[in-house]
Amino acid sequence: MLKDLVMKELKVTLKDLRIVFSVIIMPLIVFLVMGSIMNFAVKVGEETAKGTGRAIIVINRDNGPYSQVAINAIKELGYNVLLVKESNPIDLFGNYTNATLLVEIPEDFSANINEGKMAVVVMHLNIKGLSMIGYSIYGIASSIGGYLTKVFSTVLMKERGVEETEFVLNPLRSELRAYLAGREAPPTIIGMLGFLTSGLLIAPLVMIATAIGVSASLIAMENEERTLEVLLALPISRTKILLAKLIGVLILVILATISFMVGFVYYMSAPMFSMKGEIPMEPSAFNIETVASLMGYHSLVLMGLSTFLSLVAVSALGIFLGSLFPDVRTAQSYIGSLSFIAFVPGMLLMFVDLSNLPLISQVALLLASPFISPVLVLKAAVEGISWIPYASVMWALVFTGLMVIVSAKLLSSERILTLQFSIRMRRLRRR
Amino acid sequence: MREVAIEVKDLVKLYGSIKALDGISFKVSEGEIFGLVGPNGAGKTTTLRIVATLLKPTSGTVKVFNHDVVKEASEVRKLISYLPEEAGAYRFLTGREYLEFMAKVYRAPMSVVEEGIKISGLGDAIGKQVKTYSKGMKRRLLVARALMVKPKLAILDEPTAGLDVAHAVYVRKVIKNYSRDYGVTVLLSSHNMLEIEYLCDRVALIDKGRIVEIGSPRELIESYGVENLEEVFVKVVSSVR
Repeated sequence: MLKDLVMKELKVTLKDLRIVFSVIIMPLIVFLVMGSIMNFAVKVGEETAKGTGRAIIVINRDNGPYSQVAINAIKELGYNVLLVKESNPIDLFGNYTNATLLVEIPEDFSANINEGKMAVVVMHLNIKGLSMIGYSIYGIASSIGGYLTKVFSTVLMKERGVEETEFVLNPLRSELRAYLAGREAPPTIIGMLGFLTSGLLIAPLVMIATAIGVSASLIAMENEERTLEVLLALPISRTKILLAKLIGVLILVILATISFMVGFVYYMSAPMFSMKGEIPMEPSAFNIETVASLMGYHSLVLMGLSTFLSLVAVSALGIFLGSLFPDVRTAQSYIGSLSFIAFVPGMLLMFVDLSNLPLISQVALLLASPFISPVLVLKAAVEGISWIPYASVMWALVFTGLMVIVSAKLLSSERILTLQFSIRMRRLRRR
Repeated sequence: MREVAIEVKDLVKLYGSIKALDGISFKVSEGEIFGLVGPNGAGKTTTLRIVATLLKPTSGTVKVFNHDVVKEASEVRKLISYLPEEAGAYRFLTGREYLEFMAKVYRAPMSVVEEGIKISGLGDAIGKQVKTYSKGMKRRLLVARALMVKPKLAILDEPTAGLDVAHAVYVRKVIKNYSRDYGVTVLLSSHNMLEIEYLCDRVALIDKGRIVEIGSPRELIESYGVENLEEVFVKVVSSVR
């Protein structure tokens, strides 16, 4: 019987494009589109800045031996160099509209180097508008500047008889050791900190917001389509009806979360989020081992448990609230606002460390919202505050129990219908 | 002697300060078709909802085949099939899937689904999603759902609401035949006096939460010396007020 009820729930929800589109397809599309736009923008920016088929304009006011070294170094990087006579950079960008970068070698360039003074190369960036392209041009200019410094260091060392130029240029390297809340963590964690923080904190919140929205919609849909009365008069226990709805919601939420995470990982893998350099940031490293290294398998289990409990609790709450709304649209608009309220403490937790908060604030956060229980468990486990995960799971358990009891009572009693009929009768009388 | 299918005693229902039912009492015998007639807000639907275990009485008792609707609600639900006035079916199920789901819920053999399809008269449309159905098609599906499981008591609130004349006549015949052939007791409400006259063995006229008259349509028409049940109702209500 329960299986038949669950199958019915899944059929009516998974065939409903409103629900499937808003909770499963939409997050995926949004992230995939945003990620693709990011990838495309960065690629276009780099290509535009590099000037594929275009040239970097060079104004050589120096004409000394070292200016030629600089020009050759730019060519070595694979850029076409367009040497122009002395002119105003703005006029030149007006004439060569495709040009994005102009390198100006001042007249005292070679003289300064000869005299042991710091030489200057001026980079003129032709930024046409507010886009990522401007940022890419800046990146190209910086890399050319860095390369010129390295080339001139090598040249000058050779001129001064230094043989081990590579060693002098790179005499040491820094090695990272990361310690998170007093425990050694893999250095990759540092590069992934932003990714992990946002991903691990947002995912449970998204799951919970989805669960409350979907559960409220499911029961509101029964109201909207006038199927609730028939359902409640069938020879099925009300507990089974509630259980079937909760199972249906959980399956949908799992699908929605997978969709969200796939989209989110793709989005976060866009080049603009990657930190180049010594600290690798690979979305592929976003796996169970990395997360476990942050908090330990024991706490990971606690987080899973608290996520499950919170999902059941908010689904039961959603069913309770959804039963009061006459249709899905009304339920969605009210529940949407409620989810936002639940999100606020969750977002707060993204920017503060629990260990910096006084005990009373920690307790207040714990009690304030069972919606953020998984986030609390995660943060507390990472920060090594051992009592919070247990207290949070216990509170989630109590809250879940209360919610399930209240929802089951509501369904098993006549209150849900009496409330609806009373509202309808009052409206009729007012008319 | 036929068993008492429904026994309603001094039934009162309050919605806050609003008195929907003001001490009604009646009995329905097994296999009987009993109708509740009255204007909007008279208390017909509230009575049906209490008998269907959806609402609890404020006071008074209701028994269905000797089972109390409050204390033995789950037992009562096994015996009844309830069709609300504005009922819907799950939009994204096909008509057949809906009937199959209901058959499973009542633990009825799958053969009842074919019977349900026959009652509904939906033909090939039974394989289409309910969202594509007209109001009348939906109603026929719901009537079929309520009758196909051959409940001991069918509670039908405005069974032909939204149906065109031809389909309304068809549904009335189905209800009458089912009651006769399978001994299904029917408690129904309707605004349509012709329907009540055609279908019901006995009727209760309800006004402002009270039963103002009860009897067979023929008896009532004769005793009030009028031509039809509508005139009986007008006469009774005006004399009471």
